[in-house]
Amino acid sequence: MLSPFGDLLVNQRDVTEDTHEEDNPLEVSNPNLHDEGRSRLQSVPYTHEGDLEDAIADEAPRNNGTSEILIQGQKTTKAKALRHRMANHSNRSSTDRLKHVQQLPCFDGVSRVTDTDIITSSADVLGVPSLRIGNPIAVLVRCEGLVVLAVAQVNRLKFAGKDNLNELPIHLLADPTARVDSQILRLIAVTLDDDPTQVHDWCWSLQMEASCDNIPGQGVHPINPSLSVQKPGQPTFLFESTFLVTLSCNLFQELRPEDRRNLLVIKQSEYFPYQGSSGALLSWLL
Amino acid sequence: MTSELSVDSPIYALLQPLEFLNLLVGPDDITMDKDFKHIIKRQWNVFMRAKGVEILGYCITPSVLRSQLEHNGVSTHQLCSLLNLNDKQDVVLAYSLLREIWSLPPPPASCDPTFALACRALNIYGEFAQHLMLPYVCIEQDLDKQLIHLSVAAHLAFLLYRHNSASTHFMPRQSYLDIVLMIKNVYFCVAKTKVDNPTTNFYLILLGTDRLETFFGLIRTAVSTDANVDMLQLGSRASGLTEVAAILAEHPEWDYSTRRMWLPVFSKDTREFTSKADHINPRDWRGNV
Repeated sequence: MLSPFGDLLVNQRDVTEDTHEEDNPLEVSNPNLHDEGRSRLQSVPYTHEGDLEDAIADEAPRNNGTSEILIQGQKTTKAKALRHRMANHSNRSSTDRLKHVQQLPCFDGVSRVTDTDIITSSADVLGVPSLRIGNPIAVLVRCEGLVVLAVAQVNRLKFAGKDNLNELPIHLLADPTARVDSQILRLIAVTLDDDPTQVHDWCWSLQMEASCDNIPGQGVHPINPSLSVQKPGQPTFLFESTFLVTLSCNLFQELRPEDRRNLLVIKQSEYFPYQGSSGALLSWLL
Repeated sequence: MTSELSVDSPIYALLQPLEFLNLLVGPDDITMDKDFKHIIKRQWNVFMRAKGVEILGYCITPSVLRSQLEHNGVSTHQLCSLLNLNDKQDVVLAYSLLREIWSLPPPPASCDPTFALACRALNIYGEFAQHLMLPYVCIEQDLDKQLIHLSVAAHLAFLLYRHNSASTHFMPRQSYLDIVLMIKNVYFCVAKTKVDNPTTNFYLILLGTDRLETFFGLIRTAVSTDANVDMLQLGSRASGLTEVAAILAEHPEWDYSTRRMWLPVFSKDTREFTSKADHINPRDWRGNV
């Protein structure tokens, strides 16, 4: 391969290079370059007989600079720092065989433009009131044929085909496409330890009940219960019966006939529907 | 697994004292195994389920997980890749997510109650994930430590699967079974090695299907553009590729392995991950095994 005409081409000089410089189209089109190049070639005679790349490496100035940089106080190489920085930006192909053939990227670039940004963007400096993951809500559910109130926490938000949103402005809850997944909180009668003021009569036991999935947004009412931090490291919510009763009535009145038929059915458990210390169901059973 | 381990079996004396170990075996005391990288991948898949993971009664959905990681300072672009649903086969991605979970600190004293509960649930899961994974990635671990970690992982899996009848709300039955079967097999293999060849080392990382998958990859490479291999191609190439595998086993520095099967190394001294080794093999292991 290296001897197309019988002689090895390695270390051979092309004789036409010196004698027919005018063959170079660049030099023909630019007479200034031609003159300059010729004068340079004449002033520096070609003497090298070895590998050109080795010669360049020998002639090149030594790089005395360091390739290390400081990242968060730790010395690391630039290449490594760049690799870590770009690790999640790389547009590598999917390992799924079918997607790989279609040259689909491993990470979906469209969904990376966070869904929440599109929906929750607001010109309001203070921001719009939003329902966020983990927020407590009140919903009406059906249990053993009865409509009862459930206090739950938001686990998942869906809106307009977008899933797993971080937050959803409250005014968008009325939209038919808004859906909320939640898990019911287990409420028990409050003790003096939880609420020394004795203003509240219910507290969250830090235990959970059944999940309520796919609740229409319009049936969800965000609440802002009082907080008890009496036990270190175990904050909990406090509720008043009067507030819960009023809330239940309001939610029930807002229900349309078709909503009442389509209420989510929850299985009865030891603690749900919520019961008083005497074991009787609470009066906010509707 | 058709019968109880025979009392006459040489490994019986070693395994019988382990109170909760299932001693059912197949012919010749054979036990079922599952590849640990597949187990790790499945744990990631479990977290991506729409219904989430129920940990001690608390339901962790992808949204809850996202908010927790965000609060712990995981950047948005990193979250996008960690919680990306489009690639369920990436071991590194799964590993990274589990690592982020077990890196979550306990909840701050003055945080929201629901946030604190979610954080505590994830802390417990993180313990489980750490015990499950460290024996395979922490190259400084001795064999006894590896066995202790796996035992703790099995007990925690049992607790989380059983608690409040969580069952499949915690993880699919098959995933749970695979974890337990994998750990059971480790104990059986160690016992067999102790009986058969007590002076040799036992490398936990050699269990699983890594070698088989690597060989499969070599075959796929050898048959070039064909999507699958036929019997004729397999017959003509298998012997040559076995030699390739043997050469690569002899010279691990030539073997770059597959990117998807790459796992970073965990250092127990610094409690940090290092990329000193491209992939873990017996040569890298520093613990007494």
